[in-house]
Amino acid sequence: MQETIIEVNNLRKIYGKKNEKQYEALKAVNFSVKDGEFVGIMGASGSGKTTLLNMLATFDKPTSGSVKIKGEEIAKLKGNALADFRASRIGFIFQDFNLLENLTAAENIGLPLSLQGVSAKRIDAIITKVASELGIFELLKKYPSELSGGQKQRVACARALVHNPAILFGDEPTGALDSKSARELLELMSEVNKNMGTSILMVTHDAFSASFCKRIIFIKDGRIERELIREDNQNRSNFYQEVLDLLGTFEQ
Amino acid sequence: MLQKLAVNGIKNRWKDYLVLFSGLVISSSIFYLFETLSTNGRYLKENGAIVSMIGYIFAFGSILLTLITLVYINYANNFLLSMRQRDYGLFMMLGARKGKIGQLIWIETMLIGFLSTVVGVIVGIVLSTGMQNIVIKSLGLTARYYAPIWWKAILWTFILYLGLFFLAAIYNTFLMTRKPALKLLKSQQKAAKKQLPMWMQFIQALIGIILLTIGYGVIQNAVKYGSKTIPISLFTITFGTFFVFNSIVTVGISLLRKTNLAKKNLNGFTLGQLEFRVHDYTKILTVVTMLLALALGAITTGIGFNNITDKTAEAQSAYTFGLFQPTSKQRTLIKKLDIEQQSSYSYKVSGNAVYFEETQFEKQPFQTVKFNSKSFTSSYAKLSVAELKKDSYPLQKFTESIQPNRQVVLVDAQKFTAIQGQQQTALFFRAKDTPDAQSILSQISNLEYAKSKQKDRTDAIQGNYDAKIYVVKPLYSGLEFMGIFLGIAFLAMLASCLMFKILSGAFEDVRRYSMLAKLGVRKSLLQGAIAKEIGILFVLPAVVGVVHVLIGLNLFKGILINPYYGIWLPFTIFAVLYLLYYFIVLFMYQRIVLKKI
Repeated sequence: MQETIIEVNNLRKIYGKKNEKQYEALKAVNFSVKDGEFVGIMGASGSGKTTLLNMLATFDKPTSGSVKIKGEEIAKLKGNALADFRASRIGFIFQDFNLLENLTAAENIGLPLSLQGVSAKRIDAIITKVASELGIFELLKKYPSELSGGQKQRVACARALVHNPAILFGDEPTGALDSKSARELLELMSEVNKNMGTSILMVTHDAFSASFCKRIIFIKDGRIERELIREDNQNRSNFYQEVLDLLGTFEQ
Repeated sequence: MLQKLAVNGIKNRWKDYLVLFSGLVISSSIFYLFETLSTNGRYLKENGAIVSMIGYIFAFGSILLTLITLVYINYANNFLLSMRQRDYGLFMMLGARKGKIGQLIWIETMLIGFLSTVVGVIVGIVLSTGMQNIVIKSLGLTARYYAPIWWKAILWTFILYLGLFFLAAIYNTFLMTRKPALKLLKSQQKAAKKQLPMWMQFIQALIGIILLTIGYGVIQNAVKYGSKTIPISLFTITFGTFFVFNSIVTVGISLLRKTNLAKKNLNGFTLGQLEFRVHDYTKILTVVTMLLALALGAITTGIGFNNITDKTAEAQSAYTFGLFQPTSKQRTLIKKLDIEQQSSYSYKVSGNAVYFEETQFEKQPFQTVKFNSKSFTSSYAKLSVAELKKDSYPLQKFTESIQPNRQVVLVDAQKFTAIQGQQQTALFFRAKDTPDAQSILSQISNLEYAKSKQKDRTDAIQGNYDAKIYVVKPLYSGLEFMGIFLGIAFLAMLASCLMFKILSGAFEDVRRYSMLAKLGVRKSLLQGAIAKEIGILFVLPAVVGVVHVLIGLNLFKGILINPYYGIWLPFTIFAVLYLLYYFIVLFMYQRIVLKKI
């Protein structure tokens, strides 16, 4: 049986203070992600998908309910424990890359390892390995300002994977990319998921991106409304059509 | 409508404007402070009489301060531009005409310049009045002809600042109307990276070191170069410092980045930050170094003049006082003092002479002082009767006040008894010249002066205390005031310069540090990275500045005899203030950058 990576129970998030006007962004959300899965979360703007991701990635605290990553209750983490958890268990790809523009690609990628006290020699070895796998070896010495959007996102992807996280989160990772780069990145993520066995959870509002996932969770007004699973023998374009069809009825 | 929007923009960012405005006010008020000294010719002449070419020195000080102001306003203007670029880009997007935008930015720049200069001059007047009162009262100094409200200083401050802001306004208008709106909107996202080739950096390092060597060499041989010393050394040291920072620091950082050390924790990030900002930083590092050298140098020489006041007074004679026919009041006052040495002699006045009895001088020999300029200490020697007979000047010096134009004669006991006239007593003593003793010493002095037949107090010097108060202090205290005054002014300028530069960078860093936190960097590591980055900005100028001061003190060899005497005191005071300031800036920076983490 596959190990559970993420377990979400009755997760609720309410914005606004008690005596002010409150807004319930998430209403009792339940789901889990198994090891090696590639899960997409879809929903319109304001559906609560980003709120959910922020909570899973420890960037925000839930109002109630629990989120467990590899059995660890992350809402209880604080201070150094929280920082260390982020540094060792989580990889994150942001929509706007979030690379540090004053570091080269190699330094950006190596940063999570430096933080864990890995020796300089091993860091170099791991960077070379990951960069070759992601096809960005020749970009290592460049600064982010010298890279295209697609290249930047590949570097960000390498940075998110370099420390072998338990899960890779993506927040609209193709949002700022042109269609060719977007396709390349998504193919890359599929490969990473398949070959390296990394679990991925990605938030997107784009059906094309979502069609690369193996399972899609649809959120509407803070609730999980539907779930779509890609059959083993189903090809991607077929699944894409299915997603589009569902969206056509879902958003009305 | 657009005006309304522009004003609204200012309202929304009032905190940033406060930083900008207060920085400019401090800068202009300090320029004003400096000019109150520099343009007051009479004050300089009266107080700096023993420093040749003092006006000349101040003229070059003004030039240096103008250069510093130039860099400062350049930073301030960039800060303003970076704040406003997005807003103006947005206005353009909304369809504002370029001409209108240009007009707005021109008015805004000039308004900020004008207001900060006016407030700066007012603050300058308040500060100079306060400084005059505090420095003069607390140190017992006199600064004749110093005027806190000095129209020439007001005029020069306005000319410089409004002139510079006029140029800045033209530059801003030009920039804003030329750049496409999109570029203005996204201006914050760009990250320029310029790296000079290695050989250029090597040449810069070489030029820097040669310039510094020339500057230091000229200072060491100030006598030889005379009036050329100041301009040469000022020019070579300022630019030498700049080239050294621009090359050695840059190369040093990029070399450090290649070592394994850079792969530990956040070191790589900090070095990356520094390398990215180093071109921006070299200017501020140079300015801070020069200000630090000037501030520390001014305070050190100021305290040096204080030391030499005491030492020169100490070297006037072996006695704090020589009292003739001490009154009972004087005797009770003396009992309160800490006496180191005391002797009392009988004398008689007859005809054109004052007679002393020699046996008394055998029993309690009269002392003279010898001053060792190297160790800065006074030693006392006993005069034999024969020596005193040969040259009675050490004793005669004391009788001039009460018995002017009478010769001192030493006679044996028999002759002394034979001389007609009333037998009187002269009391010589040396007491510890502590701050507590000042009022007692002053009372004794006034009681003694009451007996004097001299009109001018400087002709009635009855020992070292009178010499200090009426001769030496007036000579040096103007310079001491100048030194401490300028030291504090430069220190304030340095503080505002560092604060301004560092805090203006803080806003850009908020995003970077929150990114790092999302990557899972511990807060303590983030704090450490900030401490290191700001620490570098403090340490580098401190090291180079201290070297400048240590060498620059040679300039004062002529007046201060040993300018290095007791420098630990100003250096320690300075180090404590500097360290304290580091922690304040660090605290503020961390509060801005790590607020949400």
